[in-house]
Amino acid sequence: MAEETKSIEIKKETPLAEEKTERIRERRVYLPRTDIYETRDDLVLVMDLPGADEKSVDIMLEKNVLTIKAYPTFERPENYTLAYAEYGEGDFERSFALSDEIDREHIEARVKNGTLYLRLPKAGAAKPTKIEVKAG
Amino acid sequence: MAITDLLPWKREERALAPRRREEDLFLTLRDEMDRMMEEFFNEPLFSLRPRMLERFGSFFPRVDVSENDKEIVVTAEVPGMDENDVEVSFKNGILTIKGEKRAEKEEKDRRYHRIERTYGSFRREIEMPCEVEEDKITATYKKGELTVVLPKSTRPEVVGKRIPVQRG
Repeated sequence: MAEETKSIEIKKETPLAEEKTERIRERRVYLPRTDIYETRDDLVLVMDLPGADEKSVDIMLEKNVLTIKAYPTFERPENYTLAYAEYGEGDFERSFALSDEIDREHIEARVKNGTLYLRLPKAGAAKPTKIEVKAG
Repeated sequence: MAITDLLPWKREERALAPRRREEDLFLTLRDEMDRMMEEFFNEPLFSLRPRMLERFGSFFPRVDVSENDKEIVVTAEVPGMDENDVEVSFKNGILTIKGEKRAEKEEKDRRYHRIERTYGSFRREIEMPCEVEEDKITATYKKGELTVVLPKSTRPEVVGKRIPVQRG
């Protein structure tokens, strides 16, 4: 056994395009951890979806209910047995009720390294307006 | 050095133990119940298990270990990071995964409604149950998941020799 610590280089793999299949699966569904913050113009949602990419995330905004579903895929070696598990494999799903009016035409979503970044711009009426106070 | 290195009960984390069976829905349910009961009644207050640490607000990636007859595969959930933020090393039969999940840059007019994601430095050590080919270990980062493949050693003195039992 070598005494010195060996450092292992991490390769980055870009996921290959997967075939579209019907997304009805008997899997567990987990609540993804989410940060939500608001700026003057936008509502921003950052959600951890390990194992998911841009092809495996569905985002739906119906009335004022935002629903996000993700279907992660994990590659595992053939004929493996699980020796120790801390996280279960399954899908992610979460819904939020939005209080502000959203400009639906300009919603932006991107998935990078298993994290979803969703920007929901506020509609004109929901944006705060500063009212100037004039001297009387 | 991470503060967790100084804690004497860190060794508990290293044990490989069968934790989950997926073949049967009822077994899975029973395992979940077992795990819940264990968490309520047998969890030491300062356990280093991920769920407990996450409650204290620090990032602690969850790890799965699987194996077949050729290799051991360790996967870790590290979403929102980059392959450059994670360091993987191997020494004396122990695989170490360490790194830092950085918080986003703070902007002035941000008003948070919900903060559930955790940040910070982490370090996980996983002891291998058998000898592995150190030179052939590979690590890959993809879709927020780190996968480390450790091929099992094929040297005869490690694999062992089967001795036939003769009739006396």
